[in-house]
Amino acid sequence: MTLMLAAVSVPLNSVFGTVAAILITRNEFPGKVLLLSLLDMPFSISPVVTGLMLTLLYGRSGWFSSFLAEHGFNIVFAFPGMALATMFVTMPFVVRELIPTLEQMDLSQEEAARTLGANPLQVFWHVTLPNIRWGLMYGIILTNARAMGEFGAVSVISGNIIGKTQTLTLFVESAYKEYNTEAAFAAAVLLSLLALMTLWVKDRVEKAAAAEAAK
Amino acid sequence: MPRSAEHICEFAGGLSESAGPLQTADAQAAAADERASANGNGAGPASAVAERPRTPAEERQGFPSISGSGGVDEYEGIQMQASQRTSGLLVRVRNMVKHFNTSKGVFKAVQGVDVDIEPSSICALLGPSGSGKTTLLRLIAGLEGVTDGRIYFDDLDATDLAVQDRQVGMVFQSYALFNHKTVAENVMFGLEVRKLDVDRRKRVEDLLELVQLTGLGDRYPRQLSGGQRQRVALARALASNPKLLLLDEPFGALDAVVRKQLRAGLKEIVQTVGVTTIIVTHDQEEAFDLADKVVIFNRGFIEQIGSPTEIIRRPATPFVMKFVGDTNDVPAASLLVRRSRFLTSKSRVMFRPSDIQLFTEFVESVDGHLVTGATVSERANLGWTVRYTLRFDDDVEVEYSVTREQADGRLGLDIGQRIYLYVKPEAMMGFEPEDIDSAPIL
Ligand SMILES: Nc1ncnc2c1ncn2[C@@H]1O[C@H](COP(=O)(O)OP(=O)(O)OP(=O)(O)O)[C@@H](O)[C@H]1O
Ligand SMILES: [Mg+2]
Repeated sequence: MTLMLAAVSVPLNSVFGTVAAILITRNEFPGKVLLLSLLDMPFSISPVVTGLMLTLLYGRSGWFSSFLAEHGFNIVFAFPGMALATMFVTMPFVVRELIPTLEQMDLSQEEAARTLGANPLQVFWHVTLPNIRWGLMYGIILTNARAMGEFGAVSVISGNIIGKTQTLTLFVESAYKEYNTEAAFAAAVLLSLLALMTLWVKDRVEKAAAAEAAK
Repeated sequence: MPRSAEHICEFAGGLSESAGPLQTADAQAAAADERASANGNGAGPASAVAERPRTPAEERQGFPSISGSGGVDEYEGIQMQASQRTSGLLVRVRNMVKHFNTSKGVFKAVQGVDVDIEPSSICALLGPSGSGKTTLLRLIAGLEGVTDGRIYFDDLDATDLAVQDRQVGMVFQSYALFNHKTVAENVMFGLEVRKLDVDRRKRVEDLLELVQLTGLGDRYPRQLSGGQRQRVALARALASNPKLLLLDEPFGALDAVVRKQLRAGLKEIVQTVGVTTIIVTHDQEEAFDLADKVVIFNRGFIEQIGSPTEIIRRPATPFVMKFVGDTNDVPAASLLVRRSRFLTSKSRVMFRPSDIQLFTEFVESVDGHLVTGATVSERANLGWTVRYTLRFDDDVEVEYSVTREQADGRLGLDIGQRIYLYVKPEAMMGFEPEDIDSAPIL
């Protein structure tokens, strides 16, 4: 479950985060500052509240409940809800990592690419992306770390249905509460290993970035 | 002959011609070696002539460095469209206006500019900082949208053409090389995104040779010197055979020696390739040396368009006069101006120090020009020139420069010495102080 959550929310957030960051830095528009602070909201709102908010929106008596029922979707207490919660909580990482990188970036490289005949997609792929890739990578790693460890929002919305909507983190908590200490610790160790792996990847990425900068 | 066609001969001729100015003697010898080994590796048309290592002397004499005289007809080389030597583009800019919206309001960067740039000529945009040169260049490249006016490439209205469809090559002041790509990949980029059907590796090799960077294709831009990066940027801009080459202060960040070398190299290359070229520069010497046509800019307006000689000889406006040379600037009511019988409705008058006729003995008039008496009040030592400050009896001061040799000989003046001078009225120009102001109008 944990892995699946990460597998869904990390790529989605990376793509949306990149697009959002580019749109935000490349355009001037009224309300830009407001939007930037909105992006930080997931940091400042307690994850539990996030979970509640989502339950309120999509739950059985929520705003979208009739629409959802019609189409036979089930969000709360199911995987889509958990993915939504995770995505919301991890949303700022990629955007926040990319905005400074993008702002610092020398636009003339992109302009050069355009004069050389590259269309916007080619410019992004060949010039923008390579320039921001370390920032992006870092954002993705943070997103991943948080996605795996998220507890509050997910616990509210998932209902913690054992073996079905239970993430590792949730499992640790419930096992511990049920005095099933061994299981709790086993899961905790697994979770720690995953975290260590993430850190290791992050380390490798930073080393590669440093190596490239020195080149 | 591995490949065939005819155009390489022009290219090759140009290559060796440009070998001289681009390099010092040492570098030249090294380049000759590199080239010899490159040919030895079977790069391209390894004819018997090309395989023999050549001496720097041969290089200078313009021996073709790629193809021997034999294989010219069959070699295909860097051909891409019909011919290598592009017939350059005729660029016409009509009533160009560009306004920027800033937080302080509208800023008028370009205010109604008309200019024609003849095919295969070099045009220099010259002007003080902030006068709108870069903006005009970016408008022509399509990197900025116009506020008003039109741009024509030959008979095509290019005003609304997207950047990537304009087929211009541009060299940016900061070079804007792709740092994550090697030199060869940088040069190849244009060929790849345009999906041009050419032998890309060969083309890149040829271009690197054209800019004297053979053998550096695998380096990253970080590993190159400023001058080398500049040449990579030039090679990249030329890769897909643009008909128009735009250069924004291409030598801005380089030291004087390298600037001169690159300048000569650029001229050769541009003439070889035959591309219409617009170059923005701060450096007047550069502009006058390189360009067939010089456009002088101030505050988003064109002050004068003309050949280098025209601009030096016949400055059209007080701004140009002041901008392209040394001037003395005196009140219109001063003794000197009145005695020169120069009539103007303007409040000030300028003339070049070199137009001062100076005498150390008193004379009443020379050739009908009344002389004015003055005293030498200062002497400044500027290396090869010596600059005197001359003060008239009405306390107006002018400057007068002589070469070191003259100062040591007959024209040596002492402080406090009385001298007599006149300036022909034809050499004077009346102006108001705001005519020569270059601060942007906000
Ligand atoms: N994107 C922009 N937004 C607002 N103002 C701009 C913008 N680009 C240029 N300007 C203004 O337009 C004016 C002309 O700029 P431009 O870069 O064309 O000058 P320049 O002649 O190239 O000067 P320099 O020789 O210093 O490069 C400047 O005063 C500049 O502040
Ligand atoms: Mg500029």
